[in-house]
Amino acid sequence: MPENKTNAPMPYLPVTMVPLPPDLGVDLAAFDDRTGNGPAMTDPETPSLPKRRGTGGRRARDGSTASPGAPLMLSMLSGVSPDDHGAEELLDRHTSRNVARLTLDGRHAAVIILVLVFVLSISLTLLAQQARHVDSMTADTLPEASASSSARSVSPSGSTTSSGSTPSSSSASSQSPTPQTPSQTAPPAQTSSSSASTSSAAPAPSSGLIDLNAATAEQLETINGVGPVTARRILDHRAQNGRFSSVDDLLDVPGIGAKTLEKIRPYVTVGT
Amino acid sequence: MRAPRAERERGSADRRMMPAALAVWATLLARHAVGEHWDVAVMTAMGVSLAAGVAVLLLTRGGPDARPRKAAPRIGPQCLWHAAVLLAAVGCATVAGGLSDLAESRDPLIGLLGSGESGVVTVTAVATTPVMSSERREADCQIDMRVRTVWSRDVGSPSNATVRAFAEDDACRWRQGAAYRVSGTLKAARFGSATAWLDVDRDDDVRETSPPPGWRAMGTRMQEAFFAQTDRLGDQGRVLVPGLTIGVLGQDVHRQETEGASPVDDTYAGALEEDFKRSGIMHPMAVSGSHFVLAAELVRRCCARLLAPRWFAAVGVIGAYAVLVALVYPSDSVLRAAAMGMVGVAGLFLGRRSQALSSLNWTVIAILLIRPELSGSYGFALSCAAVYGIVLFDAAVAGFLEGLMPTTLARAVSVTVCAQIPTLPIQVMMNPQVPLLAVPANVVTSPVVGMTTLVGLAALLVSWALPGLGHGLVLLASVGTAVLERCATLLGSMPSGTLVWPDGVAGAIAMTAAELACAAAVAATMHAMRILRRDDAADAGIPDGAATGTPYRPTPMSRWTTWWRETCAMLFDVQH
Repeated sequence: MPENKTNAPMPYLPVTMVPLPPDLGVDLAAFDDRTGNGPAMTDPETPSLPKRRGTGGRRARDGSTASPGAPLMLSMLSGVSPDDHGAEELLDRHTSRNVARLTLDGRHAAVIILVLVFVLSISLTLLAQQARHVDSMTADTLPEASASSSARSVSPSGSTTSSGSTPSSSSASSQSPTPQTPSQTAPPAQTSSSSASTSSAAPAPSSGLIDLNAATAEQLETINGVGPVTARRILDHRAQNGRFSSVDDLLDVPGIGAKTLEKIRPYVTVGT
Repeated sequence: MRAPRAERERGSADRRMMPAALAVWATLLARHAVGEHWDVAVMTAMGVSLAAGVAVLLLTRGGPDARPRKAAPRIGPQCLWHAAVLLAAVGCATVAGGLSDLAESRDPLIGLLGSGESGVVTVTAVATTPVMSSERREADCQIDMRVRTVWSRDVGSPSNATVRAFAEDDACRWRQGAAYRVSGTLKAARFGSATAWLDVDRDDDVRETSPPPGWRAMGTRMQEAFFAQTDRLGDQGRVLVPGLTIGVLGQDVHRQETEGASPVDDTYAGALEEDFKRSGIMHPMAVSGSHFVLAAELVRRCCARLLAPRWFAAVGVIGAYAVLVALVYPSDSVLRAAAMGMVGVAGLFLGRRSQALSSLNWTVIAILLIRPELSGSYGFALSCAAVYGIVLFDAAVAGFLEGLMPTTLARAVSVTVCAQIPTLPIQVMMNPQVPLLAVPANVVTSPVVGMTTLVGLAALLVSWALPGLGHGLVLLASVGTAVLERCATLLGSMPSGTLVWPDGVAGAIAMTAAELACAAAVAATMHAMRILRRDDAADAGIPDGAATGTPYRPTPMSRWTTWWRETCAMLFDVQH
């Protein structure tokens, strides 16, 4: 309220206390703030002051002699300050965002470095976990120890190869054409698997070679390179086409090619 | 007058991490190249770059009375922050690479190899891939395993090496994810990614100590059911349908004897693979990110149709990725695609739009820091390079081509060209031949590949439960792969289809130089045309100073479409 001349802070800025720009059509001189009348609104068509065209910036400099705070009201109403450049300059500025983002801030750099260190720490944790296998290793050694002890008890029973106790020495036996039966009980082979039981059940041929015309499926399966399916196919071929006349007749069996034949040739023979 | 760069930057094209990602990769590669002088090299490089950075800062600061520059970008602070990030990235890569090399060199399995005792060892290992046909003539099947313990002469030591086990038919009953105790002869690997080879002689040298986890066994069962259906196709279907769907060519799959089908003709399969390499079509030989993009797109559309909330769609996409990773044959490009997809899902959770380039940069950094040995992997490099090419160049190339040809054709050609640009130097290192017809080959086959992949994935998902439906879907997929096969044999048999190129790193550098020369020629041509057109504009009376921006010029495609529209209207009186 204009008659409130005390120094209490006003909740709003009364229009009458602020100098108005001349071209709003308000006659400042007609206003009397002591009586509290409103400002006398002059007719906007009657030019009390020459209308000035131009940008706000230039107006500030021109209107400053008439009312020192004139541009303040316009600034407050429109949000444009006298420091802004002209409209032409505004249009000339290419402000379209068409460039890829590459600028970094200090905070961004700090966050990025922290994330990199975090990823590195994950990587080092995984590496350290891989190196600490002690738990799983002790679990693995126990059946290994029992297998090796049981094999040591079996091996004095006449295994022709020296693969009784250590896996590394069974390399000598793997390529030699000795009967497979005794060496199959060597560690780390399974001690209770079906193939061990079938191999122990099947009689080991004394000459070491298996007769194709007389062998059973279990005997055929003991050959390195012949599995249960191939053994069955050999027996089927023998049932359909009669006895084998030579080892090369195995090529007629489906599933046996030249490579397989060469692999099993040292173990088989054709009897009468 | 232009606004400063910070105001002209677009947040949706975030390239801030590219220098860091490339620095991590270059550090790990340089480590392999430099070898044991690595520490000295890193120290000198860091010292030199620090000194250079300080010098740049001091020089650009100016005197005490220099007025602050508002318009010029703040080069000094930018150099500082980027240099800090680069140093951190190089430091992390050095540490990760160094420790991983240290752990690998201390591995007892490597020690056994190095000491020359190539005798029989026993290992407990976990199978990490499915059984595949052996690449060596001496064995029937091969499988990659990650070793846990190695025994030699009754002494067991923990180990973490990767070993490739080769075995004969009887011993080939491996399952992915199961733990085995294997005895065999150890020898150094002559090729491939494993560090050592293990030759298994008898099937009782292999004992399964623990079965694969339930989900892994289910995945293997689904794969087996899928192969049972593809076995009933013709030769090209048997080779290509598994390749397009799972990422393994039909002749590389190891089928047990009990399944009954005869193996794929090796000669035909080898010739087909060679044709695909010569014609430059790489889709059927590797699973790329397109599988993951398809799966994510399907899930999102379903969730959108059901009006499900965003977190539901994100969980669904994660589930789809997990199923895909379990079913597809493991490879480095699958790892890249899955990791990048996960970053995208994080964006979906948060409700922010994800960016391919930013996801790829962070994926590269994370994967290379956690597994530094992947820096030398060709699959990973090809996969990342293709995505980098597409993300960086696709907008510009597609915009240029859309003026010359219809939009769909322009997009297909643009994706192919942009993927080829960074991958050609890497491809030349693997195979010193440049496929000249790669772009038309890929453009012709790309519409077929998407649908065929979808149909193949559907067959993979249902074959275990509904074999009949699976067979039908697989037949449909083989129709698509027949198109691929025709294209590959036609283009692969052309005598002038490939260009011989130098081998190795020299070939890669030569290819990069050739690509830069092509780009420079294109830029020079466009600049010359712009100058010529400016002369035309001057003749037309447009003052030089008022020409801001690109003057309008109708593209050939717009001329053609306008002519067509007007001809139709004229002749057939049809309003388009």
